[in-house]
Amino acid sequence: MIDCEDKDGMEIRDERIGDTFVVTAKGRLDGGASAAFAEKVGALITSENPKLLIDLAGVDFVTSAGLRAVLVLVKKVKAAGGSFALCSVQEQVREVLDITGFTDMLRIHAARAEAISAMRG
Amino acid sequence: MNNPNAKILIVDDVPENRDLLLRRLTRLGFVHVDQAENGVQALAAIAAQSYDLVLLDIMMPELDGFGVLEALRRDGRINELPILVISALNEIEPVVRCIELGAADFIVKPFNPTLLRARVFSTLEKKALSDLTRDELRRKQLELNEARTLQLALVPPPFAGTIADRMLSIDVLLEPAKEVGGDVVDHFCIGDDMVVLALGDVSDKGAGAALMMARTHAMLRALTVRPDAADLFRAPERALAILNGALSAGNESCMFVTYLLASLEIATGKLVYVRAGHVPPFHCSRTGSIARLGGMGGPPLGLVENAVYQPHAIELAPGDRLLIVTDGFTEAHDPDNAIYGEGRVGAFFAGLMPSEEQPLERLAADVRAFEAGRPPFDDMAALLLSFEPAGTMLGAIRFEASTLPTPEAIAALIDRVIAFLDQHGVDARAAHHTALVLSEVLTNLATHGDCCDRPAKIAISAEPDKVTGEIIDSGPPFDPRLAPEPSLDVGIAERPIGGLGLFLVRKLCSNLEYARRNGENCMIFAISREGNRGDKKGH
Repeated sequence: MIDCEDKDGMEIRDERIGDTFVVTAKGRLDGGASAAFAEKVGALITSENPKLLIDLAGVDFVTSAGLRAVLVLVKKVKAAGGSFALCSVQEQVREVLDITGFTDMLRIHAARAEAISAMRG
Repeated sequence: MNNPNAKILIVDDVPENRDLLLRRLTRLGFVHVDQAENGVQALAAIAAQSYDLVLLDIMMPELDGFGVLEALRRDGRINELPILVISALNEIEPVVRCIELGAADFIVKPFNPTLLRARVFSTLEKKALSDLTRDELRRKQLELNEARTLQLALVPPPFAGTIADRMLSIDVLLEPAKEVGGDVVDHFCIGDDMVVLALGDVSDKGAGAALMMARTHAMLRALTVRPDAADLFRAPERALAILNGALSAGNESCMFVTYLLASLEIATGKLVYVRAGHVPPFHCSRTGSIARLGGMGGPPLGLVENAVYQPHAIELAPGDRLLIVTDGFTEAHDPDNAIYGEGRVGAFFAGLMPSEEQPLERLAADVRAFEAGRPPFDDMAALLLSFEPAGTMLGAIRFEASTLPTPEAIAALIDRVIAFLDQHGVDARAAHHTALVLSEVLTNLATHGDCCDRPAKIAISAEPDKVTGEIIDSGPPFDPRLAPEPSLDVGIAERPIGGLGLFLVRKLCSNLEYARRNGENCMIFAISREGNRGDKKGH
């Protein structure tokens, strides 16, 4: 269980719902916060076939450094045969995902409940 | 020169001595003679009113003559108030000391009437002459100060605004080397679609040059009220020929004026200029390339009565700038006799951020710093025109740091930029895009090259239809437009990590320009504001 706020104001909280790790992030996923984010969330992936859901409801700013962190996590999950999804993405963050082609590459759910039931199935 | 109204103070502790001196002075015609019994009384009297002469005994109770001299020397009054020291015939050492302390002369007791008369008169005469000189200097200084104020008032204030629906800014500077000088700078509108720019340098400095400068200025302005003013300035060679004719007639001193006259037709951007012996102006295009506007126009004004002047023309594009200076900038010397040079002026011009307001002050300060305290070489005048610089600016926020910001500092800087944009009514989307572009570029600059320990300047301006940003840093060459395009349609496994930041920057900016100038990366970007983008994606 990680529950912390680092000096850049990025808050990360995780919980386990069924067999899915749900990570709730809050703040900015930028050059100052992304490496720590990738490391902390990456540490959750220890078993085979992990299920990782990142709830971005509280994230209003994602730079290319944040996208890199997401990409690193996705690759790690896929390598372990698991599944990865994002949910509750704010509109302005969604635009960045659109422009960079991440929308087509990732599973993105509108709300957390919908995401959890989809991943359980 | 015997002035009976001279005020004299006798300082002596012996009443008989004072009486004797008083009688002698009265006999010489002086009517304002005061007395003091010791040094303390003497200083009080001197503080209470101004004297023209003090006769000062040395040995006195309370405060002696040395004490009085020392007090007057300390506050500098000794330079304006002559002291005649009274001494006994046998005491030469004390007199020497008094003279060293600043006394004007001495007389010995017992007083010889002829010697006393001669010393008093000559000391008063010297005092009267030095008063006259000082008053004259003071008066001249006052007159010169007033002349300077009047001369500086001839310079119109800088302009920033819209003419004929196009944005224009003009910065002007005039700094005479002495109180007044012979440089002239002017700008004004003719009709509602033409701006006239004028800058000149009289062949001398000081008061004579100032009169010539004022004449030139007044005659040019006189042309603006003629019914054919628009035609005259549309063909500035004609205006210049009239000016030259008037200045040449009867110009026996052969004082001349190098001059540049230009008129800008706002609607088309057509600039017609005539160079009368003046150094070519600098022209800087939006992309930062510098050129000189050469082409001889004719001789300086005032030398050849029937001189014919040749006009030259260029077309200014939006973002173009024009800098005209006099040689007070370029020929300023440092203590080792090196000159400031056109290279430095050109470098200043090329490195200008379009958002900097009235930058000529900074150029003048740089020249003064270069001269390092030496007296100014010459008068300085300059005119800077920015043609459609960056749209109508609503406001700008600037950051200047000796180092590129760290990731933490970038976050703080972005907070301030977002608050600034919000304050100027910029929509959240454009503000978010601005923040993203800034974050990506600054992060890239910090990781590009060996260290972030290099100066950086950042300016963000809010305009009605867009947000513009300028980022200047002195790191290794870095063109954000040249980063390779990442492949967005490959699967996750093949997708490379990285290359996305500058891709985002290019996607988000409606305009992105880069130039390498003077060892600096100069990047200008624009972000369209809401309502001005046709490509907004729906979700």
